[in-house]
Amino acid sequence: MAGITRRDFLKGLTFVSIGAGMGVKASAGFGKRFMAGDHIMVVIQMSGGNDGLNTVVPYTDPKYYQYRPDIAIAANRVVPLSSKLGLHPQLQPLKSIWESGDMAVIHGVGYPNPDRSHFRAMEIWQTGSPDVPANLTEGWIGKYMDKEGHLLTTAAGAMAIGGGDVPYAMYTPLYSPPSFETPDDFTPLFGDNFTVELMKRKATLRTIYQTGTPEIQLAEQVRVAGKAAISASDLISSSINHGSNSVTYPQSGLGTTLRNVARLISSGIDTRIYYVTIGGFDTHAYQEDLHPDLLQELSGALRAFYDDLQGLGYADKVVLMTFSEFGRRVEQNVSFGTDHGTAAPLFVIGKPVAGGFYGEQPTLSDLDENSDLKFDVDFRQVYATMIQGWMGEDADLVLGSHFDRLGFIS
Amino acid sequence: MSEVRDRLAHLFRRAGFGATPEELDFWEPQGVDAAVDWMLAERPDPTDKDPKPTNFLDGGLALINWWFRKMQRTNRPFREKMTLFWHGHFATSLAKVGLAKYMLQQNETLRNYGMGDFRMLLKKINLDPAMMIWLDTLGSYKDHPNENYSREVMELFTLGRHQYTESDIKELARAFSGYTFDYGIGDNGVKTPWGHDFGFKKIFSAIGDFDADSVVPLLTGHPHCTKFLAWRLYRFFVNESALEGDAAWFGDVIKLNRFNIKESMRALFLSEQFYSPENRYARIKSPVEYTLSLLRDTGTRPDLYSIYYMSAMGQLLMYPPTVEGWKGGMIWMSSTRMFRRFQFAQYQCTKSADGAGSIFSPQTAKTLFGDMTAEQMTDAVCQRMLGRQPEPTTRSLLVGYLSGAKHGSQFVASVESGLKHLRGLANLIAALPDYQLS
Repeated sequence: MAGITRRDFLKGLTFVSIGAGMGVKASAGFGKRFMAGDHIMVVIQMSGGNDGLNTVVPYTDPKYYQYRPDIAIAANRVVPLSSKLGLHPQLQPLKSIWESGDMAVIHGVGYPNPDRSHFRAMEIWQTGSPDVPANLTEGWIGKYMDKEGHLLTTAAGAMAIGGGDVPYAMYTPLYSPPSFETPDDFTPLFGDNFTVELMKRKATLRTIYQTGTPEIQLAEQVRVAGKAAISASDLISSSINHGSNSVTYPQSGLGTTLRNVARLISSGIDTRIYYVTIGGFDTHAYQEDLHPDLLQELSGALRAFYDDLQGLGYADKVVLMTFSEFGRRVEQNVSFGTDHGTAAPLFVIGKPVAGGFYGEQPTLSDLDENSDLKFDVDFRQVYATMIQGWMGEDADLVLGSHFDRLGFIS
Repeated sequence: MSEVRDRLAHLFRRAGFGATPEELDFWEPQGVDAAVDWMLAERPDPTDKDPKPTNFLDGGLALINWWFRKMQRTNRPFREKMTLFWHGHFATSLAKVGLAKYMLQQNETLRNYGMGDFRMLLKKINLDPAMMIWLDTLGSYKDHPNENYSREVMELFTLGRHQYTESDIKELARAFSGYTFDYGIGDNGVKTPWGHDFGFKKIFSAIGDFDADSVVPLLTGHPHCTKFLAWRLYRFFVNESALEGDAAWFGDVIKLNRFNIKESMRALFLSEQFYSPENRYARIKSPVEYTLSLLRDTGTRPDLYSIYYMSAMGQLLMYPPTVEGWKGGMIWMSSTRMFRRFQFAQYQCTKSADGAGSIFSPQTAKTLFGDMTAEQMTDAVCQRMLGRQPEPTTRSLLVGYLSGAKHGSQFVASVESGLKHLRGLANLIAALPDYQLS
């Protein structure tokens, strides 16, 4: 656990004075349990099962090299974070964030009786519950939205951006979050070339979705989703024009997406949660041809985003977390890849974050009955810290039971 | 609409890609059973003569277009619908396979074996080159075999979750080790003496020197296999929110028919459950279904934009997002994807150069819609596209949209302003919540 450093203390001071000036935030330690206001959370889902051992590398452990003769990261290539652990070389751009104390590495995140199916494991992470049968109508973010009722009434209280399906994490029966690839998706329907007929057609469509009363229940569900989408589209396409960026982002999928997130944040839009998915981490074969590029895309985009928020003056408002549905097997397979495993580290990044290591790095000397890593930190502890420590909502209520918070948000 | 006609429309939407009012006119006096027979019957399909794609380095565009045009024009819609089901079931993506040639081969395997004995289909798919690349059977050898295929074949292709142990996965991976195929010919995989693990494996409770072929009876003999397969079929053909228990009876049907898919599906299409009210309009059309229904309902021709828009709506054939296939349901209705539907409807309903079969061609428009009031016009186009009237609020909004284009009290479909509004009306109907349902 990281102790209080001089920097943290200074950070705390800044926090209080800004809070006092704006009158919106109560700082930690001043009696108010939950912080209300304008905090923003960005979640990056790394789909496919990111290889934790090649992300945060135990580069002094001979067992690591024994288990992975062909795909281990050589000790002289890692970006050292401590005398035992270092980042994959492609994560170099994160080094200075780590050094500024704005990056937490949470070790061995998992849960009891881990499931190695992509789909089941993703359901567990996204619903915040390993219960069987899974309740897929409500995810952990959806439940947060429900508790934070006013977010349900804004057009874009939470959004999935960058493409792909709306994640179960954002499901709630009460709200249908907008999901889009780029804000260009929301250029006005039917184009800009208005004629009287087109204007009328567009207005008719809008009114049908706003006031229609379909008799079939599934059609009514579609109507409600469409109505929300139309409102969100109006809001997002106008907001993106009011936002800006202060740095150049790498040319990559994630780079483009985070650039748009920063732009939306700087527009002042009332979105509290951005959910971003990056795929491709299912590295069963020839991992070293794939994994470095994925980590490069991740670190380059994260670094630009971090710098951009500083430049835009939003660094104090945003915390970003990464996760993947599982880590990978300790031992490499014959295809120079790794199969589905269990616990893995995740990152939490942002100016408000108390950087450092949290939890214990799982040992390679005491594996579980499937020769996989044993978890140390329950993923719901990370959620609880984000929900309560950062977003100011009662995590016990959102998650349905109590999970000890971690210290990465003071 | 008569109950028979309604059942026929349901059958054609689910077993095929929809029916025009003229097709329903034809089948209504003959009844549902006759239509089921027609759906399942074999007959020469003119699209089988379509030249197969030969360009395999175009990201699959020629292949996708070939299959899409086949689905649109076939006289055996059920065979193509079944192939589409299997494409989502044994979901394999060109994104990793790389060479469209192998995807074509898999597509033909799904078509040729997809209505027969599931056990034979599974045997083919186990060693299908595209599948071997997709789930890493290729390159998996006896030392530390790759577990990718052995996990997914149980979780997603045959049994479903919680029916096997981690040990079953590891042992099954040994059975699938050491296969390769001739890259040039692309025939199914063969066992290599040097790479395959010939040792004894314990899978479920059986012990033997199992390989990719001899595990098929183990997988399909597992008591959960017919239940799982029934559920997957049920979600695709009957009701996508069905629970496994809802399809239990259909699992027994599959067992009784000894995994014969066609005969099992016949029993499904003849069952009362298939037509029960809660199963009608209980699915969101997939982008492929949506695109084909709009083409059918308007009689307009597809072009490459059909494929572009299907992809933007979330379904690019040959590129399922994961090995789980397309999830379907309300996931198709995320904001961007819904807008893409609206945009495709706009494109397809307002583009020029329609053939005589198009309801927007002046002659056809005049024949079908003649001189009508805005109310009559709204009802007629809704009848054609939705098979029924929309609810009153929506109906009056559609009528209101048309009201600017009247000549006196009549809506004249054959004059320019009338045609423009006919296209706009079809565009709006295709964007209605009700039109998204199958």
